[in-house]
Amino acid sequence: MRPEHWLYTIPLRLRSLFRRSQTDQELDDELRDHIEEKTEEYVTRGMTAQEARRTALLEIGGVEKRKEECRDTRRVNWIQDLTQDVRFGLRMLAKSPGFTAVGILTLAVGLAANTAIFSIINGVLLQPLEYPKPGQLVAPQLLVPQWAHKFPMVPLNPATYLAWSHQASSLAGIAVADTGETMNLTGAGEPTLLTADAVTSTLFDVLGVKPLLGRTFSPDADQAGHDHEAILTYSLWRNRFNSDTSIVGHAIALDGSPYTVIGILPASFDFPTQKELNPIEGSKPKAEIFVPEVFQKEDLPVDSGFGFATIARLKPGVSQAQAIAELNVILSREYSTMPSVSRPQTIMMPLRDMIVRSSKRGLWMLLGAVLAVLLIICVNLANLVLTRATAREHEISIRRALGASRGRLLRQTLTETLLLGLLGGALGLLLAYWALRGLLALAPVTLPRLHNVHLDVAVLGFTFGISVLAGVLAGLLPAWRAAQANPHDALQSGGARNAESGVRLRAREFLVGLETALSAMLLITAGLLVVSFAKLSTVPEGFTADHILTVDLQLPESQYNQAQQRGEFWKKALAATSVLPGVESSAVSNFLPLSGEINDDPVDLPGDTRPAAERPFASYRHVSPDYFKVLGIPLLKGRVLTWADAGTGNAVISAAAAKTLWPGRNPIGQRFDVYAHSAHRVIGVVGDTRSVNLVEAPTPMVYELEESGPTATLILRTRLPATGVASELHRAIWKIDPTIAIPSIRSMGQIVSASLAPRRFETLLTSLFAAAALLLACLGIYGVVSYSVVRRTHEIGIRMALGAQKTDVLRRIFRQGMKSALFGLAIGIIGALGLTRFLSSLLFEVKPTDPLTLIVVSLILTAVAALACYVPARRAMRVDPMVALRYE
Amino acid sequence: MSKPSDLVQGTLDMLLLKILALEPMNGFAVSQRLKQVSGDVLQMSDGSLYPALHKLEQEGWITAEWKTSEKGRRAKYYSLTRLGRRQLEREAENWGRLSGAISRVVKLKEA
Repeated sequence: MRPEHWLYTIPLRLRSLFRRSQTDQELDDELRDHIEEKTEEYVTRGMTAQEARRTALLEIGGVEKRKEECRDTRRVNWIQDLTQDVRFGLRMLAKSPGFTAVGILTLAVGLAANTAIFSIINGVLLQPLEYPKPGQLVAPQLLVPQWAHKFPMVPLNPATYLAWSHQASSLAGIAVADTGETMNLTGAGEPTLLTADAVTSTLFDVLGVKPLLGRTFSPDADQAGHDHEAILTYSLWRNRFNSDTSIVGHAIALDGSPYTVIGILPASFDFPTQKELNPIEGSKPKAEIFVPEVFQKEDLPVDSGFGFATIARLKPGVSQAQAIAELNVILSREYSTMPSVSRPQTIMMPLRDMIVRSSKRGLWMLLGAVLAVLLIICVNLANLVLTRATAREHEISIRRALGASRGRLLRQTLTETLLLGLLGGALGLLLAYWALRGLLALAPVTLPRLHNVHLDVAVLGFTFGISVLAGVLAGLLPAWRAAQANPHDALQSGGARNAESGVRLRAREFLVGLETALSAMLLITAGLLVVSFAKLSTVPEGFTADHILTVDLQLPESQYNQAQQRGEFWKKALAATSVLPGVESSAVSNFLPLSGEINDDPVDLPGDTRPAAERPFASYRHVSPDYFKVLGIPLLKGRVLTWADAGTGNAVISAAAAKTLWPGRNPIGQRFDVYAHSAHRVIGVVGDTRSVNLVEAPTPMVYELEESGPTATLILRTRLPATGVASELHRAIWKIDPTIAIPSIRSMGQIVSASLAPRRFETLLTSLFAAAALLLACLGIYGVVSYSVVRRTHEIGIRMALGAQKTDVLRRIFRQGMKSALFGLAIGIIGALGLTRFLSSLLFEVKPTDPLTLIVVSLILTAVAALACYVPARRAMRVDPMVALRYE
Repeated sequence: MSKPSDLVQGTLDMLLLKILALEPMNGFAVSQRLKQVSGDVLQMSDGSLYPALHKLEQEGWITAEWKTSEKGRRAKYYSLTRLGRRQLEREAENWGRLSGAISRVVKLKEA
């Protein structure tokens, strides 16, 4: 277009855009003038005024149509059209607040739930790790045939690490970590136990992490004598050392020895916990400080020292399969002297998969729930729009007759649905933000990579897009059909008051059935999870968890390097704490029940010639004599330990151990070995307890006397809360040794609750989804039935006039509504039965086909559906036949 | 070769422009003049007249002004712009070439 052209046309177009009413008025005037002049002309030619005017009007055709055509020539029309459509759409939405409210709420609630959950799944499972080139990071483990039945994956030992580190050319780097150790920090405020990870000097290079201040470990830090360096995490540096930059280069006292702080890690650095990295160790808090790992001499032989979490980085272009092949070659060389059952194979998985391995299952189930709810929302929205569109067929036909183009009509419906979508989306975004905050607050601390969870805009966009698409498609179809139909027909017959077309009605019923089926499945899953959780939380632990307080103590190596010193400390601590005001009795144990600690070792029975793979395992605990009394573990046979049993190898075993090791015989007096290092003799049998977690059946336990361990948990039986005992406890312990760090006191109840936390979270979330699904299905059924009542008012009036009783009408409507709901319920139950295999992995002592749950869910769903049908059916009942017959 | 409908439309536009080149007038007057000048051969339906006029205005070939006519009535008067004049010349030239070519073909002697 030439520039001068624009000069003329732009003012014109702007004028028609901004001075719409004036332009319209002018157009009106112009055409009116024409008609008047034409009329005058015909009058002068001899026609009557009436005839003349009629002829003039006929000649110009439809005035409105001409006006529209003129307007069309002004090509700013699309903006005008859009604003007009938007205004019109808003007005229509405001006119039916019920429809609008239900539509917006449905969309908003669904969007919020989906976005929040998917953001969690995205942050935890899908996003790559935050290290550079995370695709190259892997977590190699070992598969040792002789232990494979109990430990499918075993963490590395130093021999393997050293061999791979020196010989593997497919790895750019490899590092191991001894995670979850505690070190006593003294000399900077109260003595505190810090969680420390001892790592090889290669770790930070492998991860690609640069320190915020200072440097990371030098390669020779792995040697004894050079290893007293420490790297602080950002949070430790900020909380404990007040972000003092001068701490770098200075020494701090850890376990009584000076360690030079050589660097501070960046705030964004987050090292996985022991549970996430190590396939056999229990749960420990995140590391606050890193020190170099120096391998102990006894861990160096090829067949010992398994227990180091490993992270490696593949060289660019090297695949996992290639690396595994090379590493296996190295292993076969190193272990060539060992019997084949002891020779390990390499297992490798990406580091991210290793970290999230235990949370995967629960999260994918939640995703399933999310998708189900999303589907229900789409169905509800589609139903809603379908309903509306059919009601407006009449209106659309009239507009067609007035000259609206088909495209314009479709655009208008589209705009209205999009408006609904946008409003719902905006509300949904707000709700999603709050929902995510709430979920993160409730989530168990053990969920890995929780810090990586953000509100994901991509997810929001996706969910939004899908739901609006569903609504648009559902609304377009009837609008298109109405636009196609001859307006003449539609105007002739009483408009849209006729009985519904069979197809349309069936489609709606199908949709209702579908969403009822989905809600039924969700409800059943949630119900099963609730029952499962209830069973889990009431499972007998085997000990009394009430009125028990615990505190973990650690004796610093530098001051307690002799067994006798340690033994004395524990004896003194027990004596001092058992006489504290309010304390009934006290005991120590190296591991608490339900602490997640396994500490299993194979049991060597004399004369047992079975290969190692078939030998029984037992969990070992070192406890003080009063342990069983304090925790209320019953004595079944023989006697409990006393201080006199020190050094004798006498041990108490649990009932499960007795059954496994000496089935059918009296275990008292039996002897056994552990690794052929020690000789034990059974002196008593006590009741079983849940040792590692509540889910697993009680393992065989062997209790020995706690004599000289460096760490143990002090257990107090007291009716006082932790706050009532804390200060006295501190005073008593510090009187014995003021350098001992005393962490916060936890009650046994708290520990039990914490072990239930992940399941509780899962159950809570699924129940929330099920409730949302139920509500949505209820709304859907209500909407469909009440609409059907409105449409059939005329028909109802006829029936009543012909003699139908009010209750007949009620029953009829009610039955029709319930038909699709019950059908949906049946489908839902079948669907849930189909998911049996997947569900059973989530449940505890509940069968996926649990009849009680199925019955309860069916009853709930039927009751809700009945209510949703009853309310509009009652309205139908109250219809006055005279009014209905006249209702056009 | 242009499409038949384009041809017709373009010709109509040219006619309207030419009429308006004579003197500014309103829509009714344009249709009357066209009928009169062509001896009732060319008549534009009222329905297509106004959209055509508005389109010409949109293209910038004519411009409109509300004036009071002799009868004291307010009416919208269209007049040709400089751009329109140029367009008219171009169209007239095209028409001359086209009609000449058509005449030549029609006048061919049949064997």
